[in-house]
Amino acid sequence: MMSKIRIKLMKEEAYKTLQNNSKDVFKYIKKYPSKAVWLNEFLGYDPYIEKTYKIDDFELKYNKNYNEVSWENSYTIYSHLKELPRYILSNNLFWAWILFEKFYKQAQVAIEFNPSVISTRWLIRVSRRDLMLGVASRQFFKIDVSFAEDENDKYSYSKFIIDNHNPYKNIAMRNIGMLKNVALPYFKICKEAYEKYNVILNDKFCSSLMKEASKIGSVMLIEDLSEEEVYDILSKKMIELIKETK
Amino acid sequence: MRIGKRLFPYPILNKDPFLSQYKKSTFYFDYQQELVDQNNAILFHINTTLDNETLLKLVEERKAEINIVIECPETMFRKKYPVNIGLSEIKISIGNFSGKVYLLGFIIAKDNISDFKSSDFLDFYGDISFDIEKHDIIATDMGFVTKVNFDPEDNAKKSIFLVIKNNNIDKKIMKIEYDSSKIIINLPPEQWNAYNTTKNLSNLGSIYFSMFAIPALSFSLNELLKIKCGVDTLRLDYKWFDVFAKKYEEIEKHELSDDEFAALNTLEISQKLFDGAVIDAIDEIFKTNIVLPGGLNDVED
Repeated sequence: MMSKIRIKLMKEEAYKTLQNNSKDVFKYIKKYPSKAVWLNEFLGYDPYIEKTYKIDDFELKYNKNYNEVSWENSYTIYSHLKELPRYILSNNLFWAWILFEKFYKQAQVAIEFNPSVISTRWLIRVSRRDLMLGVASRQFFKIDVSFAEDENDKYSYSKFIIDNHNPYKNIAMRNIGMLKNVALPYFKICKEAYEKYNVILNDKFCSSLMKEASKIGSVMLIEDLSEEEVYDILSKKMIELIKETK
Repeated sequence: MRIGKRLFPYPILNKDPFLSQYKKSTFYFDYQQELVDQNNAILFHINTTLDNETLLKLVEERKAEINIVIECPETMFRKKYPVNIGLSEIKISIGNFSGKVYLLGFIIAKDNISDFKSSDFLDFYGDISFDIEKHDIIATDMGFVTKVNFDPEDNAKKSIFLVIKNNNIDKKIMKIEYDSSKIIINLPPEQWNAYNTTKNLSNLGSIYFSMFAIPALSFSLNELLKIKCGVDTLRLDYKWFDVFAKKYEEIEKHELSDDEFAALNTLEISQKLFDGAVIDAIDEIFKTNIVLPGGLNDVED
């Protein structure tokens, strides 16, 4: 049984230093791919502050072909962190600790690794979109946004979007993506389109569905609609989009 | 879900009279907040007012419902709460919030409403009636924005500045930038190392304030002046500016107004905020290099 550990946040000055020296960060990661042993020396101080919140310690799997371990890792991250308060889970300094201490090796294979992703996906800005797409934070939010309490398989949409990134990417772009009554029917429709109608879930298809969801909110209070009502509206749009491609 | 100046295909009762399609009717809410449950939750006390007969009847008949939507973009928290006319309470765990929190009021249709009409519509609507769909917004108050910066372990006053090393700047330049949280002072690595080694020496405090904090604050305030935004908005958008505004109030004994901010001498106020550090620095340099043993005045017998 894993022991309890206190969570940590990266210090603000450490985070900003890494952000402003992202080219050096990339070089150091290439030089030390297994562990972030270079951090203390590069910064000149311990990069982390310990907090009082405790979690069960965890380790993540590594595979050069990240798809082989993506579901298992996301589930491990989600199940260990989900009880933390939102202000911690939405803090980029918290995810920096997770990234450099727990997900460091995996992050280099989870998404394409090049100098630009250090700024865009590793050392994310304070924004909802960056949080949902950050290389470490997305492992959590993919399940958080798609967890379906009322379904027989509560993780069916989660597993689906872990294997199919475009539906998740397009919901991450929109504020209404944070609403469960929008996100769950949207994922349900994408899954149906893929499995039943062999639709290719490209950006055009997914963004068209999200635009339709956004239109609901132009005169209605979108959070007032039930999942079924949102599903019905998106279902019609899905059929329309399928017909357009035939 | 901020409506702003969005147009609807039917009349909307808006708290803002310039955006309302009603003549005299009003819909608005006020609120107060307090920390409860040993500071683990915020209790919002909401007081809602509605004085349009048609809408009141719809609410009474449960064909319409008043909702307060509370949204915190930073934590991706967004939830609606049905409330009554008059007093209601909404309790939310404080851990759900960080940064800006919006409170927005809506009246929404809970059923399809045909032949929707009010004697208080603006005159150009004449005798027209409208068909309202279930979930349609029929009244709105764009409400309030507040700030919640909560960390139960974080009681220490934090500096508004970060001093960091940067390999990507000119080796002879100190670069200043700011974000929503901090003013960041970038130094070439060698100079950052020198600063980091000596920053806790008591006799260097005013010297470092003069070299870093005062020009950095002055520069950042000048940049904000270019944005031409009100003080209240800047205080919500920039944590460091909010700290500056509080300190300003302490020193000047009144709140910083928009007019005062527009006319601010940023260099002078920055020096005031740091208690005359430039003058102190000159004194310190003189004392260290001229007066004290080893200084120029220390002549060997």
